[in-house]
Amino acid sequence: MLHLKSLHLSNFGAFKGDQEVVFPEGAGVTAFYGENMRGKTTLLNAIRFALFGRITGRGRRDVSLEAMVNLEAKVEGVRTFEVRLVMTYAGAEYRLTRTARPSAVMTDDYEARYYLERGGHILPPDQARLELERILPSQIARFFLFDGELLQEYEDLLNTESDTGRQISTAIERILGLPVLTGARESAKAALDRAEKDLALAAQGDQKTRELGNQLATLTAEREVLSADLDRHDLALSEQRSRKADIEQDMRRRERMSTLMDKRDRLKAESVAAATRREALIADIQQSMSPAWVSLLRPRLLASAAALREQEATLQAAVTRAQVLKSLAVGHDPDCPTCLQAVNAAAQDKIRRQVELDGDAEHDQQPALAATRRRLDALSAQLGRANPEVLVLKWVTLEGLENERYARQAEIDEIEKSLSGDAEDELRSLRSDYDAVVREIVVLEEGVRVARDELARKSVFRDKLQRNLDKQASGQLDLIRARRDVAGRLYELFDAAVDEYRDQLRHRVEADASKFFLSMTTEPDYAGLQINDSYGLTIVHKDGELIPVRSAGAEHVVALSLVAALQNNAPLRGPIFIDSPFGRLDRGHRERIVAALPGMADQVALLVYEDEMPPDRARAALKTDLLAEWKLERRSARHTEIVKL
Amino acid sequence: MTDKPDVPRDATVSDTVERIRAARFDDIDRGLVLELMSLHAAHTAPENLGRQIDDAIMAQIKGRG
Repeated sequence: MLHLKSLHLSNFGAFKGDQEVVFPEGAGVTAFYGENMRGKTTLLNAIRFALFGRITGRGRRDVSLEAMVNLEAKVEGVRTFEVRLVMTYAGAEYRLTRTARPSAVMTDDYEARYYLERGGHILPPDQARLELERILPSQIARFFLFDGELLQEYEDLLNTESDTGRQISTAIERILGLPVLTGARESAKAALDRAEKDLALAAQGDQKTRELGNQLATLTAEREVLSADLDRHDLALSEQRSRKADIEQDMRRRERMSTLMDKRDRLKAESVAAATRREALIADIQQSMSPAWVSLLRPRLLASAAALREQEATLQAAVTRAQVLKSLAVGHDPDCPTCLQAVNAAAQDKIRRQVELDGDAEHDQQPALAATRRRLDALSAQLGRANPEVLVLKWVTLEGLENERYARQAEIDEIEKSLSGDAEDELRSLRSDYDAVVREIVVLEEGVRVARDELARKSVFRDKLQRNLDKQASGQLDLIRARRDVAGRLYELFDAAVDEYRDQLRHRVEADASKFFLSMTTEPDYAGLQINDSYGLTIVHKDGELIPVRSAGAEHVVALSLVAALQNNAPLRGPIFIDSPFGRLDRGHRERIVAALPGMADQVALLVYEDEMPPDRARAALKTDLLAEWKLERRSARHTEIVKL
Repeated sequence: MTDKPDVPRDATVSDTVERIRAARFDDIDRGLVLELMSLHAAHTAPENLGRQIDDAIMAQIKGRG
């Protein structure tokens, strides 16, 4: 088990000059308290730099080495920094020193070098590399050194199709020791292929089996090509999936920018549509404005229209009267249409006389009525065009459109201010890369499928040939056949072992993660966690129902439970460094998590700011498990001292 | 996830492989299985890995006569 004894920093980040942290020997927690910008993340990076030569900033991006030289020291002429870790592993004491200095070859560039001593003797570079890889492989660093941001990534494990999830699953299986089995399985498969090839070669040398040997050799050669294709496709697929996962993470980090860009593009599209509407409205207003002078005559027009309507009514009444009298005079209508009384002969006589007296009044009045109506229609049309209310409404609409245009443009300008040209280009390039990678993955997956199908088809043929060969072969081939059979059986054995051990691991991780989760959550209705094939964990309610959606805070608790369970089941164990993991957790959860820390690993270092976890509460939660406390004290904005409490 | 209630959940890698070998692959020597696993225990594969495995397989065959 890896145990850190001390950490020595020299002009690393905010830590000016030479500073040292000595870790307690026993199992328990070391707390580091520091306000924001005092260097908690830098301290985590110091460990990361010493072990893996990497320094990561926000969004898991690599930080340049030059940026890590203490700025006050830099002003004083210092150009280098150094981190030294003293640790024990498998009974031996190691001292790992990693330095960064300006490159001797490249100007404006820094290079890092490391030196590993074991038991006081410095190791040659190759051995140092192997030892370091054995002590803590970089691929599983995420389970030892992490912060809230890294914990958030574990949500991807719930999505079995996610490439980030796939990467994390591989790292999980690595820490759990599965590569011993998968490696043995691959080697057994390679031994089987070699034996089959040798068998074909030997069969070609025997006249009795030459033809079968030739066929088998051809088939083996074809299978080799196919296998090489498959390996190449698999490797390329794995690289592209890994790249896709990286791009997805990068895009997620730039989600705000992506949202802004989408909003800006939407606003621009709306602007184009609004501009078309505005132009149409302006054209309409221009057309309406030319007869607008008519509105000055509107009162007179209205009066004329009223007089004409009156005239129209009088003429219409006269025409109607003449029509009724005519109808009654000829006896078409026996009843008066006004009073509905029967018209007697005397009345009819009187009507006839009146009609004769009036002459053809209907015929006389009709032209005047038609002319009045024509004038009225013309006047109404003029009044419609000269309606100032309609015109005012159009101007108001135009003003509204103008206001919207300015507001939209202001919003676009504001967004563009936050989108620097470079960042936007980067995001565009990321999206384009992402699309290209997705297309490439589809092609590679198809390639893998075709190669697998072809290999399976050829395997059937090979089995048939080998059965025939076994029947015809002489004793000379017995040894190679035995070798082939043992290699085949070994492959089957390890294949079964991989499946079964993976299954066991999942059960163990699920049980341990549930135990940790229940000790950390404050929700009494939760019964535990359920694991999926990718080691993704879902909360289970005590009524057996799964909780499909969880908050960012719950996500942290679940992720910490997974990390704790992995530590519990891993053959390779070591210290855990946690940087500010409580950002989204309430006080109850914080205290429970702190209390659970000693169970997660023998050596735990907790980096927190005091508001997040005040020292008195940490002491109360951890009691005797709190072995040491350090404070990151400000000397200046560019100088922090690590002080033991 | 498959669920095999009869499988001991706290078994080590070696225990698991040995249980499978004893139950279904008793024609394969335990030593050969351990040899293969030990060759993959390091984080980097040893040189001549293929040759070492072939030799181990041949040793089993010869050992069984």
